[in-house]
Amino acid sequence: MARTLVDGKLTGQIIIDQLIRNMELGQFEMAYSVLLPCVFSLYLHPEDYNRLAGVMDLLKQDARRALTARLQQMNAKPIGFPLGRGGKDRKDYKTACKDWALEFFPDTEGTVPAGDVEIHSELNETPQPGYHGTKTTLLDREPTVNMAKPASDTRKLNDRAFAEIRYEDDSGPQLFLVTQNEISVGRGGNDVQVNLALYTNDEVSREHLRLRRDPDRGLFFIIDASRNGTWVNGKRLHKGVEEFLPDQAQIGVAEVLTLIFEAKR
Amino acid sequence: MAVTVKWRSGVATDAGRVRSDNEDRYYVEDERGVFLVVDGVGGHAAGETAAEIAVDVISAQIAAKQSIPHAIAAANNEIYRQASADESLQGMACVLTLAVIQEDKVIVGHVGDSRLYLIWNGAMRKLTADHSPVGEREDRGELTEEEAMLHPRRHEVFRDVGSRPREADTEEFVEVKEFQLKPDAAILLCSDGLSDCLTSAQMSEIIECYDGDPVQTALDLVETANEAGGTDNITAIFIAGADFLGSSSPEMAAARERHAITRPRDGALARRSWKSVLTGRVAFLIYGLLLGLLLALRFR
Repeated sequence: MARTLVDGKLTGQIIIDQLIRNMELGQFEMAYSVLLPCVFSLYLHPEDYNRLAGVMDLLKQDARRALTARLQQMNAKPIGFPLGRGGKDRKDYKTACKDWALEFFPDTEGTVPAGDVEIHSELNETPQPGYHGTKTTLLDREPTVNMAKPASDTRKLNDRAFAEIRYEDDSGPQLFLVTQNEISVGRGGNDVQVNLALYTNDEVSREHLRLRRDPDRGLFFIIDASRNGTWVNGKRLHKGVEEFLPDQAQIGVAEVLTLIFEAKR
Repeated sequence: MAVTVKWRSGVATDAGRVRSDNEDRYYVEDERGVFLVVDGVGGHAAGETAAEIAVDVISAQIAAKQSIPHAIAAANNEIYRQASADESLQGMACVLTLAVIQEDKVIVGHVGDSRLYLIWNGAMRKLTADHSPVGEREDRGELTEEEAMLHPRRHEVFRDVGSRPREADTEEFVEVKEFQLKPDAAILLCSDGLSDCLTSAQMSEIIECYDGDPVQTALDLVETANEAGGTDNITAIFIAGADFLGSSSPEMAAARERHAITRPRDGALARRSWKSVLTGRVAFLIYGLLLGLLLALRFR
């Protein structure tokens, strides 16, 4: 449940330290004992994975030794006060498997940056790729990684959002994603709920305009419902009359602010 | 001319139901309008230490009129320096959101996945971006709020304060925002322990009950997050503008009652007054029939 951050190149020591931390975080407490995870899936950046491919067996041996040592240490009787707290009531730490199962995987989703390791652990299951159990990740993302995001991210956005609306109100520049077939836009109010709530002055009506999407054709329509008017690409709309909204449009709201509308297909 | 906005603030923090230590820290200075939420990162006592350094350094820097990015960079470098000097503190860091109110403007400095919400006219707006893999996907609309709250990777962050030396203008470090504080608006700063347990709709429901006691609102937020699981440390700072009043508050309900007007709607015949019945179209039809009947009787 904790975040960890680290600089630099991925070393065997970092991997083993994180493995131990993951084991400690993955505790499953029972009445008389505490179960620790013993099945670990380690995801590395493909470059790190290839670099370490030759030494992975040795790395696993070393890691198993470190995990066993940590487990023994956790079960060791406390030194000093034999009658004190933690004597009789202490729970035993144990694992559900005979041996530690460790498996390395190259990260195929592009989410683990170079130098990082992502660990997923199970109490007793066969390791499976995917997100399970307790996990810790080292993150050291540079701006370049941000830009190198896979193109699939953009496609996913389009799957969810029919359109995006960019605007700047008194709360600063904002982006609103249209995910419903009908949205209302306005200042809102305690009794007027709008989907896109503008933080602005009262020249803008509580419900100023509505957008409707025809789900069959994917086309958008706009209705002005305001006191002070709505403009599409410079042309004022007739109040209460539904009009076609082009895929790219500048929607003027009461001459106070402009919504930059862009339909996504 | 600048307008001075007065405000009232309340804060609440709790370790939550799962973790034994509270690594969240906060700083509130009403007179100068300085509000800070810090969420410590790092095992054992290190996360707490990092959060405390951040509070100390940033409050001193803001008091010395330093800019927000400079104050946060100074905290970053002090955390890094102490972590480098003491092995038990190695790797400590924190994430934070700082809001400074100047006249009617709020300037925000933000690093990580704590959040700042602006509440106005019954709507909540998240004004800070989450510097985290899950938060970025949520902001891009790829994950719904509920999906993000349950996502196994929601505890990872891209940005932090303290893990390495940085300057005020280092790229991908401090996000600075500025917005106007309207007298009838409110602000919520919180650690991810709150936003991971409550949806913005749930938070809004609590905030709309505000009736002048910001401490109660902060306490209610933290308590409700605990009831919803309390999986992490929870901190909430609630700042209400002088004219902010929750739509569900008793005061607002009373005001609504006083101003309530019932307007007749088109076609709602049942609500028409007796006058409109006498002058309506149906009435004229009946008058016509009666007149016709009268004339028919007269000239028979």
